[in-house]
Amino acid sequence: MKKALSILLSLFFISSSLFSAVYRIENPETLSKNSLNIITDWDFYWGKFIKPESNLSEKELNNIPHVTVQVPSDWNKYPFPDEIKAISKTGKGSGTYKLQLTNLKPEQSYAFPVYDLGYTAFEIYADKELIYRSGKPNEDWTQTQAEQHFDKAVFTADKNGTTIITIFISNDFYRKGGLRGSFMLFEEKAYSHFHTKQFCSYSIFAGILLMITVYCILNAFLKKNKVNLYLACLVLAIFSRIVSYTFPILKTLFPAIPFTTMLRIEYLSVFFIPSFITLYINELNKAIFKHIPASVLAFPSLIFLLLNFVLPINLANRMVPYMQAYMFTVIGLCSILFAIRIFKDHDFVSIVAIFSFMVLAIGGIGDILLIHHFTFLNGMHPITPAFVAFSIMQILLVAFIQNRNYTHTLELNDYLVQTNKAYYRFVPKEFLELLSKKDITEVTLGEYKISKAAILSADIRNFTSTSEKLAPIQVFDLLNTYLKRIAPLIRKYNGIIEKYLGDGIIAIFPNSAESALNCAVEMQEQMIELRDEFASRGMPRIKIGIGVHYGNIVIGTGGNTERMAEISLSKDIGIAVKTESFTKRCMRPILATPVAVHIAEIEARQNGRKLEFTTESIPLNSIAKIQKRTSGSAKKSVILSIKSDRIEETL
Amino acid sequence: MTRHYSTGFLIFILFSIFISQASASSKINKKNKSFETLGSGWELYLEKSPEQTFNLIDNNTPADFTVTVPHEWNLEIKRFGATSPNTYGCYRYVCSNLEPGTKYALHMKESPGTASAFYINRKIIIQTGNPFAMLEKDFQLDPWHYSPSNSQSIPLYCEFEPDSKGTAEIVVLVSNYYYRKGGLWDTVYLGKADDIWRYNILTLVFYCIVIGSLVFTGLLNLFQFALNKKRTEYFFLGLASFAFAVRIGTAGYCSLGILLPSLCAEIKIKLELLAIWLVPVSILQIVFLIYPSNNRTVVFKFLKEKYLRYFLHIITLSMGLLSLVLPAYYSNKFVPYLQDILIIYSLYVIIFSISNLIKRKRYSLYNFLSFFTIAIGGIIDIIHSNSKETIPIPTLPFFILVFVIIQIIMLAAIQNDIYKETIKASDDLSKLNESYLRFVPKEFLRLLNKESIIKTKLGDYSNIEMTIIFSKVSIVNTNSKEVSLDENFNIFSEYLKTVSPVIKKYDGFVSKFLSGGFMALFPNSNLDAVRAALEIKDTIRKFNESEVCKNHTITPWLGIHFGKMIIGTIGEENRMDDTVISDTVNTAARIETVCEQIHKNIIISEAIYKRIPQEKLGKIQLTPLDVIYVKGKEKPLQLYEVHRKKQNAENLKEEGR
Repeated sequence: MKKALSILLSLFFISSSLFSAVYRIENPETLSKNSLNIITDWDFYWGKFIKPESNLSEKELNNIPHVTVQVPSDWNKYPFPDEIKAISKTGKGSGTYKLQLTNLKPEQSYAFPVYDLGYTAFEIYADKELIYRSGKPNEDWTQTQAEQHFDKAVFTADKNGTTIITIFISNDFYRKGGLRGSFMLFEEKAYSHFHTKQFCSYSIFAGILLMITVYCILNAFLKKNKVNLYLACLVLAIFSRIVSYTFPILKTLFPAIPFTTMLRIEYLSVFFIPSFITLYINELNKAIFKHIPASVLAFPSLIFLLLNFVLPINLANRMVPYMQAYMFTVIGLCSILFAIRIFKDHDFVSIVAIFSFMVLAIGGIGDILLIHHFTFLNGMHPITPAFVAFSIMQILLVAFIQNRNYTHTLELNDYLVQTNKAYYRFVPKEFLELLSKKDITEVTLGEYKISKAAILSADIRNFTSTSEKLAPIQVFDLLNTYLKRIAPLIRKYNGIIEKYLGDGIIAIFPNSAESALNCAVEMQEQMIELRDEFASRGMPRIKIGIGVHYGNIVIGTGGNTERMAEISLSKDIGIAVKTESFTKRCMRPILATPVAVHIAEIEARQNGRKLEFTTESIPLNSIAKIQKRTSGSAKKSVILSIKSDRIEETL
Repeated sequence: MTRHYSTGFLIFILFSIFISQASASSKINKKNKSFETLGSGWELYLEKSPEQTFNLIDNNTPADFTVTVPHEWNLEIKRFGATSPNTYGCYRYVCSNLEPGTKYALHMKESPGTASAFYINRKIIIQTGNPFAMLEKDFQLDPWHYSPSNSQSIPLYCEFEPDSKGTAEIVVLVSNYYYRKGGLWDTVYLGKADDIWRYNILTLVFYCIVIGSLVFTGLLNLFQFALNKKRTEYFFLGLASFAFAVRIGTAGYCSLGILLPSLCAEIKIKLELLAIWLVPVSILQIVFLIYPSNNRTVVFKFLKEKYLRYFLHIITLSMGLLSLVLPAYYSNKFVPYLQDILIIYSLYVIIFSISNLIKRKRYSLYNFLSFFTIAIGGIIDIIHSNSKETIPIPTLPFFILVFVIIQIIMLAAIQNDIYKETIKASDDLSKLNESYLRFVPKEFLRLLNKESIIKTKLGDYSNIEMTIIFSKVSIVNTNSKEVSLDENFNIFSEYLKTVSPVIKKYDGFVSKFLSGGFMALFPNSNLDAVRAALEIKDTIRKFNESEVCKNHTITPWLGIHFGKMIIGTIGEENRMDDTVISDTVNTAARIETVCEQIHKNIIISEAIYKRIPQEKLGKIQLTPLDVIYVKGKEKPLQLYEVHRKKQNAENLKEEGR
């Protein structure tokens, strides 16, 4: 309604004056520091190039279809008669815009950016002087030669501080035509400052994106994962948009790039972003696209991409709105899906991701508003910083995830090392050495080895009755103190502790009876000291009896695959245990079977030594019948008591 | 293989960066023809204001000196009789043969310092800082004077039109407020406005892209450090990246000055200095974090490498911190010393990385390449800052970028390698763990109430009441031959394999394998043990018929008892074992001996008999035996034989046939 009224009013003014559209600059002083985005009504003449110097009569002017319109705007929707509208709504056409600027500083140079001011070719006159030309506009728009330069137009205000700006525009392929860009007026110096500053910030943004891309590609190569690859492509797409759109650094670096190629590069980003954003998110959190496969969402953009390169530019251009709709749908969908995930997952990754998408969405909405000529933030394009913020957040996210995996692996490894140590304490290492296995993983169930060995059995006298008088903690303290002292002795004599049986120990000394006997002597010797130690701590003075035998044993692994244990099997082990049990009856600290002593003697002789102990025969008859019967397998009728001046005579 | 790929990729990146750099510079060179550097033929009027200079020129008085730009007036100052380079003067240059009516532009990457005013045809067209403050009579040079700062250092660009004859007289007033060198110190470019503008913008874009890359790298590295505080090399690389970014943003082409026009030049110079002292320290630290020092001695026994390094660090850092605190007037005088130290650092790092390269240490190639690049860049930069004629274009940003990229690749490669190695190590460990675990008495430790085996200590114990089966087997050859040890072991081992699942089935576990038997514990119920014993007996009957024990009969003897026990861990810290200490075990062993003596397979004690509710027995029958005096026991034991009701009947039938 308002617009219609203004049109009616303007129609009335046009008939009375040649230049009806006037814009008075309120504060010309501010232009030396800030830009002024001029949004005002311009005169527009359809299909005709009215040169500033031409003196057309009012009548002639009235013959040209003209309206007063607010700029920036697309002429697609200007209120024209239907036959013109049929053309203008496709974006094609030509025409002249006119505006008189007043209250400028007299004789002051002013500048304004012209990069995407008019589509697709235009000439700008200030008063009667041609100040800028982009391509070759033509009244017959099919003859237009489109071009675009990343440049500025400069004019000087006259003595009265007024200037008439005349812009002639023609468009033969773009889907929207007219004076579309913001008319940002600066004083020339201020423009220069502003422009360099823009260059500075955009280049820094570009640098950041470039480095992110490099980093992602590097990571993708090193870690061979898809997340980085997709993110690299996504950032590259964003990068291509930033260098080609609104502030085209690419155009500065390579001024020779044709207009249409620049457009295609710009579209590239729109085509790429949705597909890679989908694929990337899918890699980030596989649960998101449970119901809709990510590839289905990503697929259309590949078709669009192909079309972008194949189709002529005017058709490719017309595809953009659909593509944009698609892009924002995908981004919106991803955001919603991510938001849903947050309620399910509550993790850091989702929260950061949704935040980054929000930033992107805000930037995108701002961008769309700008495209439709709603100006805010002093004409800044919020999409660029939004893109950069998005990319940085994404890369930090990826770094975070990688780092989390990394530390997780390290923690897992730590845990494994710890359990390994804990388990290792239970592994009978020496025993497995006897099986001649270097690597414990090689050990299988049911392996065995038969060898000759001395068997030593040691037991604490009356341990059961002693232990009943003690608290359990004292029992274990006593036992472990005792074992701590005895076990190293057995190792010292190359023996192996085969088994702990309550208070008893069974040790095996492969191929050496002498060392077993020597060990027994030293064990008893150590017990003297140990008894004193126990006494000083108020513990019982425990005594041990030791029996030594020599014979064949078979050792191996038994049990089942889940619970393996070392087993040794031989009647000779039984004899050793029995011999030990005689110590109680005979009241002797160490008893040995004649066979053990005999072998020890041979060994000593071979090595040119004498035995370190003396022996005393004790006939077995003196021991009760029941023992005689059970020890029937030991056919010897005597047993030898080992004596040494280092140990006590009796038990 | 991956190493090859990544090295190839590295080369590709370097190559592409080089190409882009080359293409950018080639474009500049092409355009170079249309603009020129104003080198020789400048006249210098020292300590003259522009008005005085104009008068002198109009009176045809010859200039004090004729000089070539870029120019520092320190030498001329001495000949002039003054002592300090902190003074002012006018430079004059006359261009002729310009096209009248065409726009020309002047460009300097760094505005002359520290403040200047450009006059063209006696009309001031651009001013950086406030050079006029020095011309006032009562001007006093005060190093502590910051606000308002008279100095400014930004890229200089100005457009002008020559007069109708095509000549332009350029007069530049230069005032030096604090810098140790004064004068028109950078190359002056003159050309058509469009070309110069483009050259200016290209330089800006290139510098800012590098800055952006470095800022991101810094951010990323600091983030990595924040995530994993142990990896301090990331912190140092982040620090170095930021310092580099600041250096590129301030030194020479000061793009930071464009972003922040109010940036005070005195602060700018301090930011610029940041790189000279912060970067060497950081980089040396990175190197020694990657290759921990083996503390080699240098020359003397007491002069360890470490001390040398820390000594250097302390000197550099103290100078650097002083440069931050002191006014720019003093701190810029540190620069030559800091540059010398920088060379020492470079040599240090280069020697170290070459020695690593020779020793073929891991990642030494990355290290060497990156430091080589930065060293060359640094040397070129020093030459460039000292004599602009030899190397006109500052190439340091490019070298720095390459350096940082290689460093990132290296750190990523290191992290990746550690990651892979850890995964591999974990694999090996878990395999090893599996084999260890088989020896760990899991059920036993569970009884000790330990959540994790890791927490088990020597001497842990627990008081518990449960059932114990003490079992032995006798293996007899059916042909009355003696059983060999091989046969004995094989049969026994097979027997254990058969019996273990049965015990497990009734929630029991084997606590100890004995010579020719085992000791099993049933923590849950008495009946479990009895049932398990019966099933063992049945299983053995089948087992005797199987292939394994042809010609052999094995008979299990199972003594079952119930009572209090103390279970716990004994042994030594690194060789632990589980054990049960209790009279109950001894009694069970005695009961088993009774089994052998009276040839009954399964015998239970009265303790169990009392605890088994009769209604739950089902098909199990318990027959009381004669009271038996067991050795070592004062009281006689009432024992019961266990057998199945039905099977027993069947057995009788079979025997009857």
